[in-house]
Amino acid sequence: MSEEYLIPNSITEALQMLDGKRRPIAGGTDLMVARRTGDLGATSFVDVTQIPELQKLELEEDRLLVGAGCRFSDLEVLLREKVPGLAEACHQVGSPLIRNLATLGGNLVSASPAADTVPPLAAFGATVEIVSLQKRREIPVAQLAIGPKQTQLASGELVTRIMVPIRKSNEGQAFLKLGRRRAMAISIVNGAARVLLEGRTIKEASLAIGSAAPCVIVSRSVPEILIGKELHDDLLSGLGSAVASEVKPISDLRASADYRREMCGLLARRLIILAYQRALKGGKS
Amino acid sequence: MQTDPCRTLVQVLREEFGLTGTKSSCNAGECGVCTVLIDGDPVPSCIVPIGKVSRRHVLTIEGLRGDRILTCLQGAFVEKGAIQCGYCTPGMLLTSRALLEWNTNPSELEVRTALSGNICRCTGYTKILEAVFDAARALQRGGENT
Repeated sequence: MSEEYLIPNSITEALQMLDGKRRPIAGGTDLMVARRTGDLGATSFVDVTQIPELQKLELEEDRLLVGAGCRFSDLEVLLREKVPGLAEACHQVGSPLIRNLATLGGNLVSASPAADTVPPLAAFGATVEIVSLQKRREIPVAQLAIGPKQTQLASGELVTRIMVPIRKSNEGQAFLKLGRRRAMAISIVNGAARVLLEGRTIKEASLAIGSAAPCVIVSRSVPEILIGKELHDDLLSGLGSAVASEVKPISDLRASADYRREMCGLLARRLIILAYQRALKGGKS
Repeated sequence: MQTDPCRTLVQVLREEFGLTGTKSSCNAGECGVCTVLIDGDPVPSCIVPIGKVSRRHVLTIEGLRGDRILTCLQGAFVEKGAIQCGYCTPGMLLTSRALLEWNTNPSELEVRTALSGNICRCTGYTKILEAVFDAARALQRGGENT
């Protein structure tokens, strides 16, 4: 079977090409590796990186609309002021060479449990826009992946934009990634947190952990433990254990489940401390 | 030229065009020996399908022969002993060249970060870093020779 490589110039053109046998490709940093290892089978591709609407970054009053085709090498700079926690994650994906190809939409659709952009997007309440020829829908980022490397996308659907709330002035954000190297490393455990303050009291708090379950875990215990309080040491150890009991890590070639679980607790404490400190300083680190 | 559009850029460069300055190793986009510049940005050509670049500008190490920044970097690499087996060298040079084009006075962190996708098995990186700084300084002084 001969493989095709089509390059549409508009979303409509792309959707018309996605007939069930053809697959969207963005940077190709995951798909081309999967193709080589035989995990993809014979595939025809629809390259979505030359569609202008997918490259845009639009500012609304309280959120950014990020085109799914935006590359990490651009986003790590462009997002720094408005969504610093997501910018930090974008900066740590792969390597600079990978970031010159890889896109935010691609990272979400690949749905690796270790995806670095998913914890911040989930913790900050971001949503994705999904379009097909028939309709448009919007869902929370945390619901896109339904299992390792599986999304709820139906054939003929394309992720077009990611809607990300902008950091408020009394809000601090943090992203951390644990890996064997400081670059070009798949996360052993990763996570993101946001803390919104009123004075020194926590008004809103959220935390998400990745690489420790089939899909991202948005902590239920963190808001319960923190909201209405000031951050104290006594809260932190309880917080770490609570998060450690929420995750469902596996043992794999990168780390054991026990190690991951312990690191989740540690990461949760560090993330909250960082986010809280940054919120106290008006969100700047 | 006609070929399967999903064939990788590194394969096409080496096998169809005989441009063997671009090397092949991990084939997973992780080691950087296959680095080329697409529209000026360093990327791993082993994971780029040739169909992707049908209307894009691809620059290999051969294409930069005589380039002022590259010539300066090459001299510095030789001077500093930053080349042992040479396999990572074209990738290191291209990535460094791309950095120095927009950042003429990079910090150590900026150079380390920029090169973090190019792996070297021989040198331990110290001399490569020194060579890049040397070249940056020489270029700022306005010379081609270090």
